[in-house]
Amino acid sequence: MNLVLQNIGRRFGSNWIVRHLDLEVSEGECLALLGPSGCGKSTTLRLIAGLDQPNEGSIYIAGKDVTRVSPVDRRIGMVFQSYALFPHLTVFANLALGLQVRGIGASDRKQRVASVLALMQLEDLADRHPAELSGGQRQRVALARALLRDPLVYLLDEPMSNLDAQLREDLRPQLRHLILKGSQPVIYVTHDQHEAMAMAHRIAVMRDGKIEQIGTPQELYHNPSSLFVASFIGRPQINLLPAESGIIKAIRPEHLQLSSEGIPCRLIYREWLGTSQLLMIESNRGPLRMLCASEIKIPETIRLKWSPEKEHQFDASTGERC
Amino acid sequence: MMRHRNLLITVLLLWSLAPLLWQVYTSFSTHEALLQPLGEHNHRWTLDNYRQVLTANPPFWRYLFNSVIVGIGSTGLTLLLAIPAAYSLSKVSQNVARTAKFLLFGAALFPYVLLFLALLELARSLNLGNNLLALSFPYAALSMPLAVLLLLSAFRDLPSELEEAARLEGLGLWQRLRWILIPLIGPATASTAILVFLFSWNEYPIAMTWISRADLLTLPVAIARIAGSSVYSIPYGAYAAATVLGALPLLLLVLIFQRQIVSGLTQGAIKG
Repeated sequence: MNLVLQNIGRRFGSNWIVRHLDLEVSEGECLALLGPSGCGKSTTLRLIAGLDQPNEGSIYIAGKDVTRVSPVDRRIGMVFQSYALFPHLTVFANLALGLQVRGIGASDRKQRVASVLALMQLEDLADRHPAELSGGQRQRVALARALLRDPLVYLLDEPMSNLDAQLREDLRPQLRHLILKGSQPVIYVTHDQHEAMAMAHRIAVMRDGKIEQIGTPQELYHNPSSLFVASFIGRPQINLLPAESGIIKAIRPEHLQLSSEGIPCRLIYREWLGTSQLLMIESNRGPLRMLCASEIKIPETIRLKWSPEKEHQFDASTGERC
Repeated sequence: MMRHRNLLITVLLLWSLAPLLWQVYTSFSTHEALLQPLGEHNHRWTLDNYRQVLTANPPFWRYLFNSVIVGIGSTGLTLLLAIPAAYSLSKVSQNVARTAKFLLFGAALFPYVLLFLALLELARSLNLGNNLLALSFPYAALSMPLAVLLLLSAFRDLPSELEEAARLEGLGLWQRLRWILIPLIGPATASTAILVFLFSWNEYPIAMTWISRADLLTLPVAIARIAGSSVYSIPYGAYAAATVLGALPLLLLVLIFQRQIVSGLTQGAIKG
């Protein structure tokens, strides 16, 4: 089972939302679509689900061309950003409705819903309505519905964005356990680079309807192919030095080192982060962010350097790596 | 602050309820008491007005029943047509929907009394006169613009992800309407239904011209036909009694569906 997108394009009027998009997600792989809002990641997801039709290109699921196949026949397990639970139905009815429509008998239906409820630890909530559930519980019901679909592909649209930070951390292992252990390809749409790095095997960074770079989190972090990817991936953000003869040099905050031969700098303020500290620094090459262990005492005037191999160089006009 | 608000509410209540209270007062008053409200009377209060209305031939209940039939017919027909129309309009492109909305507003604002001669011609040539259910056709047609507009905004307010989730689950168009969308626009449907029912309940010119047989009259026409003891006396008390009796079923309806109506009318004010 895999998912292939070939030269996908979708436009509204003369405005291309996504264009020339190629993507392949293999069996059991989780691919994150990462990008700022309006980059086309949600459109891409809707095209895969069949909720929207591409103007050009083809989509293959498990080797079959599904470009003109209806959403239901594509067998998609989708978790919506808003969870899209039916507010007038109980948790049980929410889960059973799809099974019923797809022609599964009453006793079989009941058994399948019960086993998923048990798996998601939702047994006690079967008779509640979505409005009576917490955000985390709603998310679990939405996941349960996707699991019951017995899908060929999982599509997760910002599944964590409505939850608070603590809950996200708690739910990540559960999500990984439930979905990523399967043999289905998983597409995980998010605008949060931290979440993409935590969940995905590979990340496709999208910008203006195109994939800017695709690779493992490590590849994107250490070898960003463009200025956009370099500044989008990694927090605190990468330092960009002023352009010199058409080249922009970029250096990660943790690669700056104290050294007596370095460029003279002045410490503006520090953010203490527990194990590390973030230093905001002013230098003759512009403002810099530096990340270092929190034990190190930093005087107000310092000298900083970095090793040339940690430096990324980008073309100032195109933003591409050089 | 609180006292001012209570005062304001009292004034508004008096302002809007005074005509109703007056009507109730009139319906229980003797003719003499009405003509000389400040004079001394031996018989100020009476049930005669109600007796007159209820013992007339055909009995008052007959008209009430006729109006209920017409009301149910028009409301049912309107919803049957307006729900699919509103749903479709919520799906078409912005430009088409805007044009349709503009035309619907125009139709909703059109004074329908101007149509009633043409409608009468239609009724004659199609042989729809003296047929209670046939009245539902013009009533539904006249209610359609407002009903479609109300239901359209209700469909628009539903998050599109709900219907998309239903599509992915395998629900066809009819199943989505039946199991997801129509239940969710329930409040808007209830308030629309009440408005249509109210229009049909109160409608006069078409009912008067389409129906001539005494046992098929609807309430407003029947009330207008209540006769006084002579040509020169107007039976105010009997009118009032008939009006009070005619208002009771509506009052009941509104009481039963109160919550749905209020939430339906304010729907869209706050996006949930």
